[in-house]
Amino acid sequence: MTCKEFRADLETSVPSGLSSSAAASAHIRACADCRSLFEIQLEVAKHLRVVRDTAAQVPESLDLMVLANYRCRIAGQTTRSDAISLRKRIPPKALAWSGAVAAGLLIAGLLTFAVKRKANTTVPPHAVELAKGSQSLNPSTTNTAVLEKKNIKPRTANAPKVRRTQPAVSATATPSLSDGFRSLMYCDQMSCAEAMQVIRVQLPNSFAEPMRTSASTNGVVFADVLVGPDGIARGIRIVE
Amino acid sequence: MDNLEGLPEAELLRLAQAGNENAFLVLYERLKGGIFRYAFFMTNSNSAAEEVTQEVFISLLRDAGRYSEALGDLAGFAFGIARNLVRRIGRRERAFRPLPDIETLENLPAGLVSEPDDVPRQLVRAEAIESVRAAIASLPEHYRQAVVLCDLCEISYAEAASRLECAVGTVRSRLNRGHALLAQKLKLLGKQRSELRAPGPEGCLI
Repeated sequence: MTCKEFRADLETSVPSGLSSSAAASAHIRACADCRSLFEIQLEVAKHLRVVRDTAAQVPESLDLMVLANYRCRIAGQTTRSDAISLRKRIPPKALAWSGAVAAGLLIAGLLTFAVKRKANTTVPPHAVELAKGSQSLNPSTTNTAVLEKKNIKPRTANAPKVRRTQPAVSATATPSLSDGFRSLMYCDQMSCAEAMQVIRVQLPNSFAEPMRTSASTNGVVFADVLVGPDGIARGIRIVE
Repeated sequence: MDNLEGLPEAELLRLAQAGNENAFLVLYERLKGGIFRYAFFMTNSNSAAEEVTQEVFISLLRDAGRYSEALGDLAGFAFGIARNLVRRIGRRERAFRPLPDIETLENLPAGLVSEPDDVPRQLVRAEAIESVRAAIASLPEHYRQAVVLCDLCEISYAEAASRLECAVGTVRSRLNRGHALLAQKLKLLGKQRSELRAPGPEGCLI
């Protein structure tokens, strides 16, 4: 056997099978180059066998994942085919009418919502008046009014006895300040949504001066204080 | 389930598509090992092999219409999908491929063929096996295909030729060339290392 024949045989057969051939064995013993080549091939085959035998197995998690994918796909197909059959069952005219009705309802809903929103965001007329009135208000009087509502004595030295009266008016809606009330703080429908109370209080004559009202002879004036549900005074009116 | 075992793969795929879960499981059991092993040895990555296997079965269900029995068996069709996926992963992962560890490759022959009798040896052996896998994964693709299919997946030359769409002779020569390259890689790296360790004139100074 020549080297060429031996190498051709080595290429077409497994190395371990080649060693069983008598001619090949004789050539291996005789030729050092071919022996070296044969040994290398034998070594590579051995390494490959070890690597093959130690190959990783398919993990169980992969099996579960593939099965889950399959189930999802089948479920998706079923849903899609249901949708297709439903579309086939309903005549196209009925679908068109249903669509038109749904669109109409949607537009009506949107319009209603838009109108409501506009109404909510409009500044109420009384709030404008409140803002105008608050410009001429003395801050000290505001404090006095609030303190009186909470039954706390004012700090002024010559403070007269404050008499808390029964509410003269029980407002069921946000009262308009156009009937003589002066604003003590900003008030609109958002902040004063609930009904407010009017409390009549007795104040010293000095209070009447900044309000530009006439002072009484007995040294006291009466005022109506508009109190919100949170206990904070919103407006005040001197009773003439 | 027993009556499904004898059915051909194409029939199992049809049943699986119609919603027969048992048919799908039988088909999966038949194909998963080959696909997983092929992808594992081609990429030398467990996660990549899992990804390929999963994708192959998704594609089989999605693109079953593209399969024609006249062109070959379903395993071949699935293998074609796996091959494309492996190529795609190879392109994606090329930038992140680590360089081989020279020291491990030097100890390869002794570590690989010796019997593991203690923990250090087992570790060396595991490293050596990993190095051979890395060497296989670093072969040029057409040689790697032949080595993986014929040596590691134990597919016959004729079947490998039909999967790779080439002649049996081509598979043989690629396999032979692949073995030679593999031997060269392992031997070469070992030689490089021994050259580094060989005492030279400068070695006497240390």
